[in-house]
Amino acid sequence: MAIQHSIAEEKLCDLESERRVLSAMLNSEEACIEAYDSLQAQDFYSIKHQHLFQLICGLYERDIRPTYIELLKEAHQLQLFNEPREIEEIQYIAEHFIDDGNIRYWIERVKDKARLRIFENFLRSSYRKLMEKDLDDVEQVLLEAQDELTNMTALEIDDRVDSPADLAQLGYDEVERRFLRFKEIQEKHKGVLPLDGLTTGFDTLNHITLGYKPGDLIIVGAQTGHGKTALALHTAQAVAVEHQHNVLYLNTEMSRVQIALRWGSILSGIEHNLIRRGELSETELSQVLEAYSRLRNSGFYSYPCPNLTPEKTISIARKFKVQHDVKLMVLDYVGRMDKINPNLAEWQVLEQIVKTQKMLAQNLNIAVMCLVQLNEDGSLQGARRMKNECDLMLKLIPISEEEIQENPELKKYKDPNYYLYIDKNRDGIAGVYLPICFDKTRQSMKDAERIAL
Amino acid sequence: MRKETFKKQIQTELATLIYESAHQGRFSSAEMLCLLELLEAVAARRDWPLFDCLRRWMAAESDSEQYREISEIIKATLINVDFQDAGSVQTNTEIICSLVKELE
Repeated sequence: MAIQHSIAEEKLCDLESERRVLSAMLNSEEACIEAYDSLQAQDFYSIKHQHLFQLICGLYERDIRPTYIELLKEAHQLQLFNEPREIEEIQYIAEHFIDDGNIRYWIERVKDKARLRIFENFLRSSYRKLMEKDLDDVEQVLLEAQDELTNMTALEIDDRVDSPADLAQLGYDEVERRFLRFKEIQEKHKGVLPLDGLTTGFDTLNHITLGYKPGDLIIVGAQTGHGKTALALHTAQAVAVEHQHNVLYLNTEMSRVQIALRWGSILSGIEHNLIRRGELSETELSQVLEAYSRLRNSGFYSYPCPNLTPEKTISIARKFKVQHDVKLMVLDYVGRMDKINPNLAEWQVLEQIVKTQKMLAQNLNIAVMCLVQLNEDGSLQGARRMKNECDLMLKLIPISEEEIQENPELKKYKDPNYYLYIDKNRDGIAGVYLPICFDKTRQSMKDAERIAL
Repeated sequence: MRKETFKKQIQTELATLIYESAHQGRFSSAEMLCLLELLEAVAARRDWPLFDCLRRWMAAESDSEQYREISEIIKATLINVDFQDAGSVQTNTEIICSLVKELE
């Protein structure tokens, strides 16, 4: 039988494509991110290529740009590649430079060959079974083979179908975890609910949402000049400064200096205008210095990018997930992002951007917060369908003087001037107005304090 | 051939030459790492005053005893530079520049 003969090696591997992928990883960061995300060492046929892929990924994970020179330094440290022939081979790979625009093509070729090898393995093992087994139960043999083949063709590595038993087990585990947690709250935490995800920076919002969870897309809307960026930085302060989780902040509007100055005000509690003018006393200056030392030790990574596109957010987010294990990405703001397709209407563009961010949140298992602009009547500018994509939609709405005077509910709070309105909450109650205090001079926010009556 | 590709090939060739020379015992590990760091800095187009200093050192080459002695000190200084630390690069550049001045 044909299967008994060994299948020609060239059918099962494509060393040229493997070399090109590795070379692109050494020459372009974009290619490195793409290959890191799409391939695994065992997808390479050549053992040497597997080792090289692992070395390059290892460098990349440590935030070292994996160039040929860095690769040699790493190899020297690990006492690898001591033979001249080995170095020649790596040099040959490094010189296989390709335009990183083609990287997906070469990655696909490497992946296809890897899948073909799995298929070959399946054929061999099936043939062995055929030879070895007593074929009384033909139906069973065929069913097993069908099952294996289906898994190979229909499912990607990351895909997963839950059987009824899987789902029941998952459900029970979750309920049990929550039951034990509830007991713990009552016994240890005196009724304060611990979070499921990252803190939102507001106790009231934490209570309702249990925090921003991995995979969540949070949309925050406000009119121009009504605190979108302040809310984003308030969240970043709570997550990155106070809880030391890593946050990636993509900003399309402000310069590095503007962002840095805002932090000075937020963390020191000194008016933003005074900081901008440098109108500070000696004591205030040391307060600002102390504030920046807190920022230095935080997990806040800022990426000012006026020409941000959805594709760029994907590659930046992947990079920061690998290198810094970011838990939250903030996109400030969606309306300023470059169009993917100039022929699309604005609402279509915004919808696409938000869809991309939702996928990103789920694939990287991080929370993503997108800031959007509201119309004067409080409706969402551009795409109402954005709401369908998100898990949580928050709106910052100013409270008028009139309402403060007339609404008896607001009298229970000390100086509320904005509502944080929960427009949508996939996991809990929505339609709730949370009164907050937004100090525009210091760019800071907090829950409005309840007055004891 | 595109200029960028050609430049990358030269860098790769040079890096290989440095790595192989060290493995053939023509210079030490520390010297190899220092040369690779310098090559990387050049490839990344870092604008270090150190490069100008090193060019002047090469231009001042002679057979004199003084040249040999000072060159040894420059080499030892260069090898001890922590290229990831801007402060170390700056301090050692100043030292090397003053040594090169003595040769000129």
